Amino acid sequence: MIEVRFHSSLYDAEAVTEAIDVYADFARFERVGGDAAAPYIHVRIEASADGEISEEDVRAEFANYALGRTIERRDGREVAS
Amino acid sequence: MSESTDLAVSLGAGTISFEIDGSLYPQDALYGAAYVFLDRCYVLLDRVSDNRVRVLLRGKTKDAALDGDALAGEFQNELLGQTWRRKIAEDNRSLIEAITARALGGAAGPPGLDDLLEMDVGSETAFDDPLGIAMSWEEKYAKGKSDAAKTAKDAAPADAAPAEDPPEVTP
Amino acid sequence: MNVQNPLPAFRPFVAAGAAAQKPLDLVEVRYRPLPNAGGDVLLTNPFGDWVFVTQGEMSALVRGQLDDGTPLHQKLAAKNFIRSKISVETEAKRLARKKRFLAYGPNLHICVVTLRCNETCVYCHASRADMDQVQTDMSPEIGEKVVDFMLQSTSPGVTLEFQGGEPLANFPVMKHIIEYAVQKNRAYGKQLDFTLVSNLGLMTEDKLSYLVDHKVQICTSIDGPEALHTKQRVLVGGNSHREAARWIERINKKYIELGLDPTLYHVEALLTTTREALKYPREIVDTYRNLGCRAIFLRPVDPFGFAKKTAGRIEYDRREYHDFYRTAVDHILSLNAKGEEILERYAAIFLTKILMDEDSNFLDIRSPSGSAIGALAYNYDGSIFSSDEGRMIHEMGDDFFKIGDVRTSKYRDVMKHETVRALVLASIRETQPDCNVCTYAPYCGIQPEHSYRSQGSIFGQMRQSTLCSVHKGIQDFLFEKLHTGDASTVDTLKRWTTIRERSHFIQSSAAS
Ligand code: SF4
Repeated sequence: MIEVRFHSSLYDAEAVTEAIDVYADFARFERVGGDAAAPYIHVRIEASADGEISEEDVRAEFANYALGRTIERRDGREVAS
Repeated sequence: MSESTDLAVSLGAGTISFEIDGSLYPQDALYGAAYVFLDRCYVLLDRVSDNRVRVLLRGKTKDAALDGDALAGEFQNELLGQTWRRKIAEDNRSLIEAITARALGGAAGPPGLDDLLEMDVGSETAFDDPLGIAMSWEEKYAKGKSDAAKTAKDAAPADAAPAEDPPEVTP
Repeated sequence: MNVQNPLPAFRPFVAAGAAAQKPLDLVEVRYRPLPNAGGDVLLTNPFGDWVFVTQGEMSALVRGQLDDGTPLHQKLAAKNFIRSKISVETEAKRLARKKRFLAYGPNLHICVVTLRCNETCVYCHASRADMDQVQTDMSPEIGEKVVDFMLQSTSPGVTLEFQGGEPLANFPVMKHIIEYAVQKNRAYGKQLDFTLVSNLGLMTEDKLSYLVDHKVQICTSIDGPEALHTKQRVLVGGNSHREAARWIERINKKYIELGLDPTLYHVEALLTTTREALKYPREIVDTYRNLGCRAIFLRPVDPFGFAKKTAGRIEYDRREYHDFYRTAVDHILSLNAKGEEILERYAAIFLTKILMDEDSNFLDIRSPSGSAIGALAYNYDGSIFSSDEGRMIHEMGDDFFKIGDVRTSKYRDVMKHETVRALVLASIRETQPDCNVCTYAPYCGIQPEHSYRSQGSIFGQMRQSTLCSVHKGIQDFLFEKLHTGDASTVDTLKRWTTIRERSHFIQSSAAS
């Protein structure tokens, strides 16, 4: 079990949700807290037992994806794909 | 930049961290710089205070020796460069808009790319097809089929195009 | 190995620190210190102009120093980089000319007449069927509907490209479609031509006579030297390379017999670059030469699955491909220097934009991309896709790129499909993060299907995109060559941009 937090002034909540969807095959993700007013989005990550990728690697890839999507969404690319 | 950035701090395991003064740079520039590193590094941003953002970078390739100072320097350069470039782009916005509008249509001509970008998506709000791409051949040229090709030539925007598709490159 | 240097550590902004400021009369610029250009920095503007500046000149620009009358000002003014000297009228005309493809609908129509194939290729599992799977043949009725649909396009010129599977496995229907299209087009008067993409393993003299008589351009696949080709493309009971080579020679001879110029009329061959192929840059070029092919398209390695996308693997691919490309094209350039005319098509596409201020409308490298608005793919069952890659993704069980059916859809509804709109939005380079600050945006293009397949999103993240890396690497290489100023190399590169139309393949379109 490992945790990562994203400050809501820097990360888009929808982008974090997309990242969870994309990486769902590699680990179990759980959003902790869920208070809309909270400055942080906390996500707990538990890699699948048979996963070939470590929890730390999933966290790093997942956080990169969330940041990338935040930037893309901000540039007006909200159309779902 | 040097006055706004703490010295790069190594956190071990190939990770470096430094802070930047968020009030000096547009957030777009910070994002633009962060984006540039996404292929080589794992990038995490964190807010330390209202005006300060911490950047954490970890190289993706474990074998390559990570030069933390070089990476931090590169990030700073990118951040400043993106800020500089964005200011110039802002000065040029109206020129680019004027050229695009004139080239691809706008008020005085057939609608252009901007219209494409502004169109609503959704099954009911079917897009308006400003370029006429979605029209059928007959609809677009609305004439007898036998002279359709000639009509197509005539219908091409005066500045825009010969009727032929640009051929592909051949040896 | 022709190893690409890492980008030099040139940090003019850090050096300027608080002294950094914008020059007042500069147009919007994008900059890139090139890996092998003696430290010089490439500048491009949104109109497609480019210029090299020294590090000293770049440092001056970073400090806002751009006084009228200085050599730097003169140099930039000559290349359209000074705002007060720009004519809106002139630039608008240039842009309109280069984007004229936006005035028309799709011109390339890919018709998959069957999924059946006589060969088994290592990279093609999902979009082929065994030879007994006749239910994957297109029927004549569907074929007619494909033609009817194609002719609805607002493009004054249309190319109907037969693909498979192996199209020759359903030759009777292919013939029917050709004859129906020619007859039906009499009422439309479009510039119509046909292309066949075939492994040539099922070619016969009769089929060839028909294809030549009906002016069907023939393309095939050559993966490299015989050992590599036959390893990757298995022809049961035969040698796929020898079959293809035999027919290439035969077809080229036939064109000569017709009195056609062999430098323009010959079988086109396409390379599928696999990891294995990356080991043989020179050998692949020589194989093409020996087959009489004058153009080689060094396409990048196909995207691999998302699950396997680890950083190490990406880096490996990128480096390997860049080395492969540089070695192969250096070899091609040295052959040209000795008087042999042969070109690399990827380079030619970019160079046409860079040197000729023209867009050759190559659908996968334009902005917005040609997905749906430049090309459509029709499956054997009549379903319509935004591209052949979109159709292949459908064969893997994902319908994202399916935008209609020739039996039920109206042309207008297909073009108005929300996926089409999303594809247009996703493929305008100037609006994508990273591309919007990239020096190469004026010349670049990314097919959104590639991003979808390799990254799970039609927008893609260009920093992690192997295709973006390929495009950057190729343009770095080309600009480095231009930077050398070597007359023979620059002449060769200019020659590659010459556009010669193969008018013989155009069907007579007179409304007779
Ligand atoms: S795809 Fe890559 S090379 Fe092309 S414009 Fe975008 S960032 Fe530049």
